[in-house]
Amino acid sequence: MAPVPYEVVAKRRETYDTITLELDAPDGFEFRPGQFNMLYPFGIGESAISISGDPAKTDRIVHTIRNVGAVTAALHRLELGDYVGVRGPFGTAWPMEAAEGKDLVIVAGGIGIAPVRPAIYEALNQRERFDQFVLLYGARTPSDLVYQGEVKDWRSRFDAVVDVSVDSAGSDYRGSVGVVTRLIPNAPFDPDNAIAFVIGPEIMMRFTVTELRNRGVPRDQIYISMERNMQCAVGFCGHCQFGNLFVCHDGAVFNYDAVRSYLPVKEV
Amino acid sequence: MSTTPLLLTRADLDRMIEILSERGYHVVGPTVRKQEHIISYGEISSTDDLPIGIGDEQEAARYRLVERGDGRLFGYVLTDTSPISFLLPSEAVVWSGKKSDNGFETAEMAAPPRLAFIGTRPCELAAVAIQDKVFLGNGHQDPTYAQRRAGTFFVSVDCTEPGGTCFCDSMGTGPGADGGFDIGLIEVLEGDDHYFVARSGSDEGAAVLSEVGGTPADDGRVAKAAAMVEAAAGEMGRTLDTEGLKEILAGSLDDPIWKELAGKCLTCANCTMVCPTCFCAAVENRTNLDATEAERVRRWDSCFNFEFSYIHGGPLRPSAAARYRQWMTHKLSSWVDQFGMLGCVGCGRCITWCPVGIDITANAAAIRARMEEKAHV
Amino acid sequence: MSEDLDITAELGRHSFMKGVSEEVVTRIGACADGVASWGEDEMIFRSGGEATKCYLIQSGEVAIEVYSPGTGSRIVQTVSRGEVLGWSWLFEPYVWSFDARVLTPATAIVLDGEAIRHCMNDEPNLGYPMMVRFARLIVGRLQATRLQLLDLYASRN
Repeated sequence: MAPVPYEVVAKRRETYDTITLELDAPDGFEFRPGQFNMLYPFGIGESAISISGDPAKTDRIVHTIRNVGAVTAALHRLELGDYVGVRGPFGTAWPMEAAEGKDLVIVAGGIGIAPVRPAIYEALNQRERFDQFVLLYGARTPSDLVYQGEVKDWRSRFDAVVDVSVDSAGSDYRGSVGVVTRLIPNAPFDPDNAIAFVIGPEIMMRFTVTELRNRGVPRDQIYISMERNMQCAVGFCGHCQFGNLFVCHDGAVFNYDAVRSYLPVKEV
Repeated sequence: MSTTPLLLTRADLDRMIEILSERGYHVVGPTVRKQEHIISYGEISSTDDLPIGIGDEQEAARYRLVERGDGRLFGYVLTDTSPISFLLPSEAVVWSGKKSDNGFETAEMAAPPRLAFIGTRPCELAAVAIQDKVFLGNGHQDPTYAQRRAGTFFVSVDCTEPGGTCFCDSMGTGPGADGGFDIGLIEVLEGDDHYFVARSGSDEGAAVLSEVGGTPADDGRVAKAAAMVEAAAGEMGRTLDTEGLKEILAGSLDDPIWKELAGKCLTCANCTMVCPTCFCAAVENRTNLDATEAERVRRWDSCFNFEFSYIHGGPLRPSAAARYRQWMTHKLSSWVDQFGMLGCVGCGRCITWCPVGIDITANAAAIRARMEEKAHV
Repeated sequence: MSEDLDITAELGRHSFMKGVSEEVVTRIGACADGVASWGEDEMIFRSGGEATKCYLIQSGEVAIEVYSPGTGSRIVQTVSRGEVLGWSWLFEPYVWSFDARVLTPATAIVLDGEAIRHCMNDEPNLGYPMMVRFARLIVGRLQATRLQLLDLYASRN
């Protein structure tokens, strides 16, 4: 299971601490929305990074990376023409088929928008498969918002409800301010007939689920994506265990019912 | 595979070791490490290397070698670590790589020599079956383990004198081996009558056994040996009630009892280092100074290590109680969901080698009592 | 303010009033001043001002902000369609704590604070369901504030 080198062919700065890298995949790279790769800047180390590109475009592997440690810092230093090792794709996917014919509600917090972007692409490219499409995206401040141009394009679509909220902003900001969960009560979807994908920091997901449940969305129609220490990505190293689950291969995307008993327990 | 049992002598065992060597195996068996005062698996070339007449006393946080005053070859209870430390070495290079024009190139490691284990205990065979499930039978195949496991040969020796921390009878993994061995032995020493009842458990085992020779075992000796193993089931130093334990533990995560139970835990990770089913490993990336060559190393890790659960910002299980809970609930509860079996074989090593004598059997009983008491409130 | 709207009907459509009886809607409707609209950057109220009205936002986005000399204004939260702006009219001394500034042109049903207070006080059958709604609103804001305090998306180190 050695990593395979891929060439960096595009690098975009998203925010002050986040970039997007595009890797050339001449032989094609297929994945399902929600899956992740292990990225290996040669000699430094490996880190689990979600795939954030369009699943229909198999000639590129796209990753959005926040600089939070030694490996991600090394990934930030990569330039065009550099190579990065890739193992993957790993993990479970957002259940697009479960949302078919239903309202698809996506709630993303912070960098969590990246792992769910492939699902957004797929849903918007195949809009007819779903009833309502609702994306609620929260971030800390306006300068933490990634994919700003794209989000603007999505918002301008008549067949998609896209709301953005930041936790705090200066007075020149024209958008919503407040935690993302407050967008849920008035979002236009039918709770009985909705499938929700929730991703972000764990507390944010817990409160989002609470709001969705308040709206009447059944537990088993809610999916969340967990983050744990992933080293091998195939269930051998043991680090990512979450109760009886291996986040790397039982997840990272879980039905809420599968994980709900563990979420409130400290230090699971 | 189970043909008529054979009767082997010590000389036959020597012959067996020779045959295995000739067949290309590195033969590993229990040996006395004089400096450390332990019996540990190591390479052997004849029965002279075995712990002849040496026994071990095992209790919580206690391990002593003792002179038995007899000539038994397998008169000890258990080695410190199990054959797993060979199949899953404490440190193994997974691949090595070099920078190149197209990024880098990697090479997988060459296959290590095949190993034959002499003296494997039934609980250790059960542990191997568990590791097979983890590394070979759960969707992905682990090359490091698969490479080493593919050629292994097990000569097991059933237990007739369980130790103070043994509870394999509770876990259904001993004291006799039902399978998983290539050759299964029971050692009997009565006065001057020293013999091994042998049966084969695989084609390779049968082939080796027929080359060794031996004589067909008489019913009396076979029955005698079987009776000793059967009697051993009643002489376990510990017991562990597994009935409903998975659910009890799963429902106990929030209970303050974990703080109590882990109160003296030093998070030293000894239990996980000697446990034959612990499989957690850290993936390390090493590089030379100019970063042109690198290798990936898999090294034993432990859920007791502070950094084990690290995600950016800090570890998710900073408290000793949470780490102890993770370890114990993994063994006796979540393992069942993950692999369809318990993750404990009852070898008792974690009890023996815990420097403060934390006892998984006592703690399982304490949690059971606590949860039952809660249920009745 | 436009006078020709059926204010009771408007009120009944607002999600704050979801689940209350028609009778209560009618009674609260009698406390309404009408529907007001504001343009970008207009101030609906200012911190320290007398809190006499309650605003049920129908459209647009309003920022609740606080000004601190030197650092300038900071938006604490925005409220939009279906939400309620202002509860300082509910308790003495009836003084606004924050500024409310319109971010995108907004309309709101304006209720008279004193009138609702009397209404709720005199008619517990109306007062209770209304108070539950205001309590839910305040609890929601409190939770949101706690989450903001947690700084969810910040790096943990």
